[in-house]
Amino acid sequence: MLDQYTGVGVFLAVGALFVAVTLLAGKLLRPHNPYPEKLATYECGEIPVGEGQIKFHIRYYIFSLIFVVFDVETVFLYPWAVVFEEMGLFGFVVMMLFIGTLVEGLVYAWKKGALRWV
Amino acid sequence: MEMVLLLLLKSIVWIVVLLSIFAFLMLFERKFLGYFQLRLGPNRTGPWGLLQPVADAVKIIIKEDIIPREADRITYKLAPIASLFVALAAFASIPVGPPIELFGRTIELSIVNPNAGVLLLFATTSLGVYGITLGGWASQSKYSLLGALRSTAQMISYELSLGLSIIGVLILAGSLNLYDIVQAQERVWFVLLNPVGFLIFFISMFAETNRVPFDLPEAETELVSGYSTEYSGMRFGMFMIAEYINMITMSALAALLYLGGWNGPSFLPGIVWFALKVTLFIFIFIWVRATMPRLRYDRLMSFGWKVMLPVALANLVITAAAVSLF
Amino acid sequence: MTVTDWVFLAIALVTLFSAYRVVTTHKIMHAALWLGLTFVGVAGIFLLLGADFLAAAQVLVYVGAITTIIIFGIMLSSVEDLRGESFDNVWKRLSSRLTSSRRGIWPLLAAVGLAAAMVIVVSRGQWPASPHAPALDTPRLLGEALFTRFVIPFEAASIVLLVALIGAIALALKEERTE
Repeated sequence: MLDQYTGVGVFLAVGALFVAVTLLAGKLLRPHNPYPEKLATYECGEIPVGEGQIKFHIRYYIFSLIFVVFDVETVFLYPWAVVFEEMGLFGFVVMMLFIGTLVEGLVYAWKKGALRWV
Repeated sequence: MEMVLLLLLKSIVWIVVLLSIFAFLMLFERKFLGYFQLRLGPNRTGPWGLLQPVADAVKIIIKEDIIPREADRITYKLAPIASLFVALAAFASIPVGPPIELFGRTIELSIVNPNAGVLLLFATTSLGVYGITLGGWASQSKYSLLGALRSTAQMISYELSLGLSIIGVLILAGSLNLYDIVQAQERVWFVLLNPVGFLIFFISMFAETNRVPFDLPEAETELVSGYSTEYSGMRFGMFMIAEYINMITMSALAALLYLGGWNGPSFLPGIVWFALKVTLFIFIFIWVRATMPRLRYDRLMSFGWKVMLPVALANLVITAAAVSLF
Repeated sequence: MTVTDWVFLAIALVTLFSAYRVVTTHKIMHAALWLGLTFVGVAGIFLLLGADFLAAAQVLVYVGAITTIIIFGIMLSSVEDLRGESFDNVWKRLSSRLTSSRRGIWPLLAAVGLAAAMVIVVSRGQWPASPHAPALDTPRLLGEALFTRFVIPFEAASIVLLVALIGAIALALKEERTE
């Protein structure tokens, strides 16, 4: 099992080498000439107004909450798909109950307006 | 020990090939966008612009590395590296051809071949949001943060339909292993058996890679450059490499899961068929970019949750029902 | 020490260090990132034990979704709440922590007691290794177990998820309305 994944380690190590080499090459080759105007944040040529933080809307948070629930459902669906042939009708009914419960949740979220973006 | 050497060799070949494909992909995108728009793309640097990638690479490396004053330095430096690493790691489990016989031993044409290959692939692509979120937040600029948040929300919404759309394929193939899935398509490709799933996967592919028509988070007219506004030089280059490698990974996944991978008439070797199919999808990516307008963000999100997700669920229910009846 | 032992040591050290940094770093966004790294470390340990499906599920759900929620939650809070107090001198920081009862001496004693209890349990317990080699076809085995022996917990899990979804939406929409 372990030798399966050493491949990823080696691959990432080679990738890291590439990244390090190019960053190093850049560091040696590029100019370094910072001055305040250059280091200021970009706001289409104007002096930036206000802080760097925006008013964070809660709908981002709501969407990520709903995403977690459906992500867990997706994780349950994968082993079901693999053993679907053997499980026959029973497996089908069991999973339909599962999906049905979560579709109820989606409909609730829809009706409550949690899926509205504006 | 020799296994480690083989892995090392494979890794070097893979990375060199990936980066060359990336370099020429940037060129082809600009050339084909040009042709679609009735103009020539880059054609000054070398014949047909073929040396343009070299020029781009040199430019990116020697550009000054400007780190904004208010930026969170550690996260700022970490974000593009994370993006690139995740993109590379996702490509590690993709097989590009059937196992080949060389010097008396069978070599699999992928870096790893895990049993839960498809799930591992989705796990690594779901990590792709972090490079973007952290890059946008670390820049401490309003444009970057807005672009990053929108991109993250978009990617997680369409990740669901992406993951659910392939369950139809998994039911038909009966395994999470990419080699098994390709083998199950020897007689008929899954695009014919599961066309709705393919359509959902195809649309979600564009949303996951932040490409047109889902590229509002990085549209120049909207948010300057979204999460990569404050990035320059090689750090920006790494974001771009990550984006294009994601594109290549998604195309490869589409070819493997729906278009039969390396199956094809035997007058061409499997690798060539696979390469042709991946090239087809990459061309479609570029074609769609030249052709379609971008979706407004609220329509994008409501499409993802109110249309794609229910259709993906319905597709998997119907596929399951159909399989159990026949 | 075999290669597996070395790899386990490396992953365990990364996980422990990240967990330590979660509680000791001053910037809360960094704490969220260290938490993400801790989750990745745990996934690595699952991989070492041969549970590749579980490792992928861990990365997909914990790192992919839950850390995103945490990061969004952090961004939701206002800027002033984000920086903790910081003392320049380590000793001043330590002494102020120890003298304050809420943040110092009682949590420290509780943590030490818990650590001692865990060490005693782990060293006294019997940990027989399973006679079987780790399974190779984990998704199939997981699926078979999930739909034969564990069907009822599986359906109960769907109810729990539904309740979590409804609760989260109710709470979050209440927040939205008060904005």
